[in-house]
Amino acid sequence: MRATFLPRLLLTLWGFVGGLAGQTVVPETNITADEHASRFLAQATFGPTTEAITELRNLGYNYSAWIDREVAKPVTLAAPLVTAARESGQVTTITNAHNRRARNQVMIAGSDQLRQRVAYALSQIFVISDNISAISNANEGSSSYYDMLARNSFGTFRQLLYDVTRHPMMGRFLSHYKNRKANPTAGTRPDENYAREVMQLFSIGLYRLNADGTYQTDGTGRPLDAYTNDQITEFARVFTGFTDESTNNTGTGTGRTDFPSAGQNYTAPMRMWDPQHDTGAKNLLSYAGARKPTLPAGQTGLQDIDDAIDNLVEHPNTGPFICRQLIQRLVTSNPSDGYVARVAATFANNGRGQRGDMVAVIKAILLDQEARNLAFVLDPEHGKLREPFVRVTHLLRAFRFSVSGTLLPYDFGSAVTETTIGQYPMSAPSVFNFYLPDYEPPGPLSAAGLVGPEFQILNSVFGITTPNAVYNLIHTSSGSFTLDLAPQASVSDNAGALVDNIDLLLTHGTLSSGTRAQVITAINSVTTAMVPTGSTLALTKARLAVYLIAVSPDFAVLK
Amino acid sequence: MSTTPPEPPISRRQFIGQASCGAISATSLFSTLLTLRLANSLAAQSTTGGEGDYKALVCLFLAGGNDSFNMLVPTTSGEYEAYASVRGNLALARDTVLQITPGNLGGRTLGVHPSMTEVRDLFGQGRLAFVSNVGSLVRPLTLADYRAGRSLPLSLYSHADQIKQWQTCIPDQRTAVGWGGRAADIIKSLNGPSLVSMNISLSGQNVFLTGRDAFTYSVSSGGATALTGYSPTAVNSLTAQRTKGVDSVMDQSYRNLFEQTYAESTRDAVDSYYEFSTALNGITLTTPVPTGNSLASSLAMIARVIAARSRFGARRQIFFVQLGGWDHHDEVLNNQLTMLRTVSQAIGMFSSALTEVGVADRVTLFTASDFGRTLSSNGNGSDHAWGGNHLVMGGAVNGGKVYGDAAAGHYPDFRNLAAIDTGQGRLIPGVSVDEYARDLLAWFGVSNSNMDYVLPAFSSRFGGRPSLGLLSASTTTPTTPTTPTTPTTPTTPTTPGSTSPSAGSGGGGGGGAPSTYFLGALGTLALLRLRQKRLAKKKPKAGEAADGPT
Repeated sequence: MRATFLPRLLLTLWGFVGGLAGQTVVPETNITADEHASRFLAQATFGPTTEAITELRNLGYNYSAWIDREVAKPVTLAAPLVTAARESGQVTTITNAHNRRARNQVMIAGSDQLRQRVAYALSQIFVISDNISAISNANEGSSSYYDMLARNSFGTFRQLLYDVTRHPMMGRFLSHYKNRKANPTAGTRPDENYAREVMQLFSIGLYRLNADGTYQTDGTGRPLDAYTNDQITEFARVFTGFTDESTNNTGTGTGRTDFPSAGQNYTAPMRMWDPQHDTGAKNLLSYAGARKPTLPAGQTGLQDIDDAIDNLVEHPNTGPFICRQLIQRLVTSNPSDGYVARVAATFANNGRGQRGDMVAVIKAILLDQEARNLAFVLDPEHGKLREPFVRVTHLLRAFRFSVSGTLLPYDFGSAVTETTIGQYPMSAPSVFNFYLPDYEPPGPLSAAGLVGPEFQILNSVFGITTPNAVYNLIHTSSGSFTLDLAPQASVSDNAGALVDNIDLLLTHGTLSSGTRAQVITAINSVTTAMVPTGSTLALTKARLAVYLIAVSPDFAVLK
Repeated sequence: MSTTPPEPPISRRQFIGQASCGAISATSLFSTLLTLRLANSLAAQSTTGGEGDYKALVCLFLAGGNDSFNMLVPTTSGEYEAYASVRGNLALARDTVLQITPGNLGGRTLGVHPSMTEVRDLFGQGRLAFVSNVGSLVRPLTLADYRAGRSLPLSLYSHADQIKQWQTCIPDQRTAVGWGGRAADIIKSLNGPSLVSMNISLSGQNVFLTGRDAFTYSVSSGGATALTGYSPTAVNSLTAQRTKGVDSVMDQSYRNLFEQTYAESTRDAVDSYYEFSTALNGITLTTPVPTGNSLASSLAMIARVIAARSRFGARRQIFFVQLGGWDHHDEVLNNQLTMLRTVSQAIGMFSSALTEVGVADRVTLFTASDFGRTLSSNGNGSDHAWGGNHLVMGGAVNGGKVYGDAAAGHYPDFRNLAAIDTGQGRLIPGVSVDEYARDLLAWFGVSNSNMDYVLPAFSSRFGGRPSLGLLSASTTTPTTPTTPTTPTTPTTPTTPGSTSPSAGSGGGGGGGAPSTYFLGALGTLALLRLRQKRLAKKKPKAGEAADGPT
């Protein structure tokens, strides 16, 4: 790909010198049931642990039963951790860092791992970001938003979209908080921000889709728009009148129609203040089966909101649009049309006549043959680049991390941030997340017409700083996190056994023979003289092996 | 500035390749290759005329859609009142804007946003110009066309699409190859061999710098970072074993395309670090860099890279830096106060730094953004719109002027927007991004015959319109490199299968021109089969070509 003169000449030299060694490496597929379980856990949690693998073994590797068990667990919440810290007096002012640490705790250590992993995936679709001060300076607001996603991870999509719409943090992020109806005297009209993004990103997407996620096109092959700019303007009129929850019923301003005075409320659902709601008739989306494509005049604000949410949720686009992205977050970047169709069909009807059953959708994603069948491990076009934050949590959980400190101790400090690894939960640069669902990285993937969204944050900066963050985690600590490599050190006198141990936890048995050989060579080359002061040969070998596998393509890519 | 490049640190991997090729001593190859590289660089310098012909473009992308009709405001009597009327509570007070009298508006006056004192000063010095009402256009458009939906850019008013269209100059097809990348495809052969691309981003991956062959080198404002615990010169130590391990793992060919892409990216990142950091070693600026201004830090890094250009063997470079947060649906006035201050301060510093480095007339900075914003207010902000104002800064700029639709007086007359206002003050652009880009590219050295490759839509759609006249014509046009021989099938010429330069399946370096990748016959067949299968199943994207309209 890099057509520089230098390597070309070198290659010609090598051609004469006697050929190049090196064959194309492929993943191993002869894997044990435990390794298969590890792979499932990599898709369904923030990383496998030996305990979780044991649990699955005891369940007879029944993944559906495992999911049921996860669904039954109570949700672990982040916002109460932050509130408790303030109420105990340990924290006077809540900062963004406190919220991040609370969310780290529930994501990395919460026992409801499937729910947390789905909530994290949802946070990359229904994006708010602490990149802007309205979110980072909002007490527990950002954690409250994350908790709302977690609560809805096993509910219905309809409830999820409704709660997202009414959450005060989303109101501030996409500016429908205190969005006023049109004022002809002042020459103002409603803000269109939320109306646009709720369609483009949170429900139907830009283009009309078939049930399998492929684009509908006109006669010339051009995709068909799913909505028009006029429809955005109509929806903008729906999203008027929201303000802070309060019990103050006295309006302000001329005719007392403007929003009542109230303190900022960053956690309770936004209140609908009808005097600032546009009560005219509105044209929403029209499609086969639309229950209310037109809203009559005179409805209350919340009636309009209810109808608008239904109008979006019931659009045929929403299933395939959302499901394809959920597959991308959990399993693979380029699901087959069939895979998308199967999951979208479950979204449309869970088998009991219900639309948007999140648990049914999650099961459809994780239990589908395209996620479970090991034949796909060998498909060169299958899989995804693990996103850097999940690579980090995977290492933490696999290697029995500990945290120091007592006050919101899940603190990465400056070692793991969006500037060192390219992303951080709920800190995306914009509502478009860290990467776009259709990003094609230049090179072999774009040549094959494939997408790899996570590559959008792999460049010559993060290509080095992310391995460096991994290096620091393995060799010292990251903020308050330290790994425990004693189990690996204890088997390090046998290089093969050491690699097998790590293979189970990191690469789920798929570690290629090529990488395995290289790592074993490296381990066996470590001599006592090379051991750093204060360390042991066993630990040194263990760290080297973990590092090499952790930065290898074998681990970086989930297949 | 030295005329011979410093000794480049080359990784042992490049010489040793796979561990099994131990028959060749690393030392002898090191010196052989060093000699080759030096000879090559010197040859490149001698045939291409040396430093005198250096040029660089710097794209400053304001992501989110800058409300740029408050960056440049009409102040002529009558025009200002019309502006204030349509902008309502978003209008800037006339006595707060910084007055300028452009040399080509026949006496009409404008005002620069109050925060942008450096921009106002540079305009007065003739080093800065504005381009007004620029936006993505498929072709020149009337209001009737707009209402009928004729020839509209795809997904007008959508951030992701408009950003892409600004960066590709192809508004009616979905493609991810940028015009900065295509310019580099054409022109990079002017540069000496380097592991660091001529296209350098301070803001990570972007479409603008992505070319068919040209790729992007990303660096942060603090410079390039070394890979911890890795050293190509380490011997007989833990670091040496770790280095060998990393090299051997990254140098493998992976059949899984994701693994292969990751391996290549990591390999490139590690290798280019050495060249970059050596080149920047000892390059410092005396121009003060404002603190707490991330854009200034990025532009200062760009200035340092430019100062080190001969160490990269670079005669042409293109830089990209993005500043986000412009999507001001809310609080546009307060936000622009601080954000336009950031921009102006950074541009002022950059101009001084370029003068210090001695390249003031060789570097042109230009702004770009998804779109302008609605002239009308939504309460305290504005919404997505279309045409917007931009600025161009550099010694080669014909400054002190405003360039726009000449027939409409270069800057829209707010008393008479009816013909271009699609509603809410969303203005049909008077200048297309193509025309804006073309002036910049022509100055940069893209010849007329190559312009069709870089701006494929230009000649058929805007070719009849006169050049804006933004920049002084080049007095020396470099030896025009030929259009790259590219395949006619809409795929990039890269083929997956093996990394460069070492691994490959079987010999392949023999007959014919050496290719970047070596593929055995079986591997090639397998890949062709896989590609055919995938392309057959590929989702239809409207008229999509991998590299532009056919």
